[in-house]
Amino acid sequence: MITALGRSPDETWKELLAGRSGIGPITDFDARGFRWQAAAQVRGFPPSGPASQPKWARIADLHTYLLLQCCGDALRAAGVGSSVDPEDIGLFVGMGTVDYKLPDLVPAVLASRGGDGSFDHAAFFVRGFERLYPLFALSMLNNVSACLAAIELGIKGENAVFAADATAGAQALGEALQTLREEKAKAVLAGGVSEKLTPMSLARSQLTEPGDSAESAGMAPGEGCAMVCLELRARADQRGARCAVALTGYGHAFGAAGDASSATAAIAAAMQAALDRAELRPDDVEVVLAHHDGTAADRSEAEAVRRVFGASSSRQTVCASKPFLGHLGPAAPAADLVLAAQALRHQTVAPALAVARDVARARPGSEERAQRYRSVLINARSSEGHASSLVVQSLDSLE
Amino acid sequence: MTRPRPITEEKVLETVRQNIADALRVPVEKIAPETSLVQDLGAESLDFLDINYRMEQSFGIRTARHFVIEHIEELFGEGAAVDESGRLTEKGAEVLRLRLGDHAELKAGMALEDVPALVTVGAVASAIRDILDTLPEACPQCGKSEWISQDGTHVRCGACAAPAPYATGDDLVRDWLRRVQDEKKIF
Amino acid sequence: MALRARRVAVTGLGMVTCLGRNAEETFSRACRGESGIDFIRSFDTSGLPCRIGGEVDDAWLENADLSRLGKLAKFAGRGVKMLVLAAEEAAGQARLDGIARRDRVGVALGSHGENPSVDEMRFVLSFYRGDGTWDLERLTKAGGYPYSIFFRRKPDIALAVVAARFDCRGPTSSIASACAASAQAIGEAYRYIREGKAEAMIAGGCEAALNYAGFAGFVLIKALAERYPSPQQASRPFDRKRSGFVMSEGAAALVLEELEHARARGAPLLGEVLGYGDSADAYRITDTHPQGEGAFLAMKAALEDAGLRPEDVGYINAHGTSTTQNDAVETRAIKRLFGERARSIPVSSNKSMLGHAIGAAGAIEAGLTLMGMRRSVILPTINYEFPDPKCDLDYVPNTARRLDHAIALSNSFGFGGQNACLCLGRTAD
Repeated sequence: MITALGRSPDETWKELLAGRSGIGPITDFDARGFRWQAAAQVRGFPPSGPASQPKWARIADLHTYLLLQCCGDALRAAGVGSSVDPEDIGLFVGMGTVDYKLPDLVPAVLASRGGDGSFDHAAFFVRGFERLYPLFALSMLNNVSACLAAIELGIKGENAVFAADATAGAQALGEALQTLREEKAKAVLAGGVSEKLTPMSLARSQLTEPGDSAESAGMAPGEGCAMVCLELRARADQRGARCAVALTGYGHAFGAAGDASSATAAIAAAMQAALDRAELRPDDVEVVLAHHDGTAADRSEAEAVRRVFGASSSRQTVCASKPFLGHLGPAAPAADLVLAAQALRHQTVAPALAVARDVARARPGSEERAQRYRSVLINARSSEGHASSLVVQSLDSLE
Repeated sequence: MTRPRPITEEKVLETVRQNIADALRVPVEKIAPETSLVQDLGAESLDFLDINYRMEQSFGIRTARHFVIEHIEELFGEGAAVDESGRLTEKGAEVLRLRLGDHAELKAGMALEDVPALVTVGAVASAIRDILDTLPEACPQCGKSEWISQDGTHVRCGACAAPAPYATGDDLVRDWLRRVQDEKKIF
Repeated sequence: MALRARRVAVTGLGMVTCLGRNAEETFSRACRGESGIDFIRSFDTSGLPCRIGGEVDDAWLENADLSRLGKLAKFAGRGVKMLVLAAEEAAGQARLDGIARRDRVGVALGSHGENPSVDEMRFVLSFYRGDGTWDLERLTKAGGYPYSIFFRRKPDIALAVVAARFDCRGPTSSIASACAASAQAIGEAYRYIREGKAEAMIAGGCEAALNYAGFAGFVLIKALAERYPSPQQASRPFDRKRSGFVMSEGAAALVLEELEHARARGAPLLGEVLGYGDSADAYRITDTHPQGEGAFLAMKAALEDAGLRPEDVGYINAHGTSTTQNDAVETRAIKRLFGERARSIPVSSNKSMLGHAIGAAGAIEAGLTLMGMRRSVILPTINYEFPDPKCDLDYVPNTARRLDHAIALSNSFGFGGQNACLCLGRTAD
């Protein structure tokens, strides 16, 4: 995992424990006038990708390099190595909108000006198009980054790219789970990568409705990528792998955004489906990592949490990573999964993660009441109203 | 020949080398006239398009979209240069030897997909030079003979500022093939 | 295994293609070996080396009744409109609105948002200062990024529109994997139903990149057929004189439904999805693996998923793009999987008639494959005139063939090396 706070899960966790946030002023371009002048950016990442593949820089960008690095890190950390054939390794990635690079288009745009200097449709098809950088279309294909990762790591198994919001990242994890259960792969890399922060992506993210909450600053965009390597428990044990945590549930649903009651129903349905899949009762969950993105739908999420956990909802610590890592989009669910694994391992949540007061209406510090953390529920949703949930459990809780 | 040459020979080669270096992301020092794009620099099919694009941007020209082989088939009929299983004919090989120089592999039966390996940096530079040499004596817009280049690669008329009216790469290849045919009656 | 108990039937099928405004029209014209390819009319192609494509009837699409989209209409670009029409056909046939539990109805679509359009380039130009510099600050501040562009570019917009239009509140999936996208979407939908996450799914995809920079993009990488005696003869999969693919637009939607659920409510049973496999070439972004490794793995996985053996397959609906590379490599992969038997299995490419509808192709072809099985008809590969020694299978040349067949594979291989294969069955008995 790579976030604004670190190049590895441990690094990010350490920074979180120290109470640091990755959100800082945007310096790459002048962000005055945007809703956000701050973001959780990954800084200092080599801008040209793997040294072995310098040509990829023509069609790749930060999101590609983050994905390549995290895929490799996850495979190495899992120690899968040569014990699994390439066709038995799967790859599922959640990916946002991929922007073109302006310089690829500019000569074509300039050559398509009519007499009055404005863009001339006919001129574009007569002469302008020849000035498009010939590889520009490749760089924009949503699946290119995942394909480059497959090439770099020699992965040949089941694979798909999902788009475009946080739910796409959750879906990648859910698909991985199913693929393993059906024994269509022996190991699967799954997760997501954020969009690169550009004036365009910032302008795009501005189109979502802001919430009316004081914590809406928590929704500042973030850059990052998280990929996890999943295997069936039995197989991992057999090869003596050290497992971090178990992903046991996934559920998702749709309810048109903007309609609070159907949004609530969808979020609740996704949470319930994930719990059912994990064969857990709501009471079994100690921590909820909320989507909590500072939009109006946070209230629907709060309502859904109350609905699912009912009277016991004060038992759960409801918290969120976005105030520290920014909104990672499709990378958020896998990032939350990695944080959940850290929380279960270190048996602590605070001060690493912000208590999402909006969602939980929980008292600060209430999390310390739980004796032992065994299960974490992770929520994600899209701006259109898709909702997804994941259940992560500690291994000892499954014994 | 008293053709105007506002762009120097050195500048052409330097720009060609730099463009190839930029496209393939290799150090420019590794690129010499005799370097093979495929064998020495690992170019793939799309890289040729990228390289051409950079040449067009640098010089304000239009490079050939089609390879010599495609032009032969178009001008002299299907099967003139390539047989049914995608291999060079004797005649196709003969024309390519004239175009790309003598290579031991360049003979009838060579698989078409192996031909790009014979393309060298020098061959690219000379194709660019050919296009640049189509600059007419006088500007067709204003009739003056005042071609100038400020950046060393883009040429325009010093009198009326019209851009240099070069022939396209495809036109040149076709003209060349017709001349070869007139002289040697290959097809 | 308990999972196997749930079977997945197809209960509705709709399409909008360059050959027809619905599935029936498309199939019957394809049956006659007609081509939907012609000169592009929607914009001036005189400066382009490729001037042909498979366009959907513009006037008809303009006048199509999309009133039921309501305020969603403003999000629907050309491709999404076609998809909604196809989904209306499929949902109508399946009587999808008769299913009361809407949380058990989901959507899985292959789409990738639109390529930057001419409008987008006009928008970009508006920030050109005229002196060689750009005012990118203004791009974001003066009116900002237009909603219209945002929504058209967003890869999952089709999903949001279809889910809302058909009141599907179950699981959703938006897949962006180029030419394999809508086949993967059908595969995902099939898995959702099989594993019990949904009872019914709308699955499919759309593509409308003809008019836009997407078309120019393919021209630039020389992927399109540029030399042809007539537009109708340009797409010639497996023929020696093939020179590239012909781009087309279109959409298709299938309603997949758990078999017992479909039977219980008397929904039409149009066929069955028996298996799904996918793979990555892990080779190169633009070149297919020369031995067809990924294609082979995808077909093999689909058969294994269906619990079938190669000898059970009666027909292969090929990816068959009409590019030099794909058709030879796909042939090689088929021979590797089916061995000696490969030559006796009919293999045909719908793209010979329909061109390549990129993201929509997989769903269109899966639909035509199902229709062919029900009617015991194998659609032809038209424009097959000159045998290629590298392509030596039975491609069902030029005329449709009457043949009883119960199990078929439908291939879709994506740019970048993502490969999907669906195993489809005739009856759901």
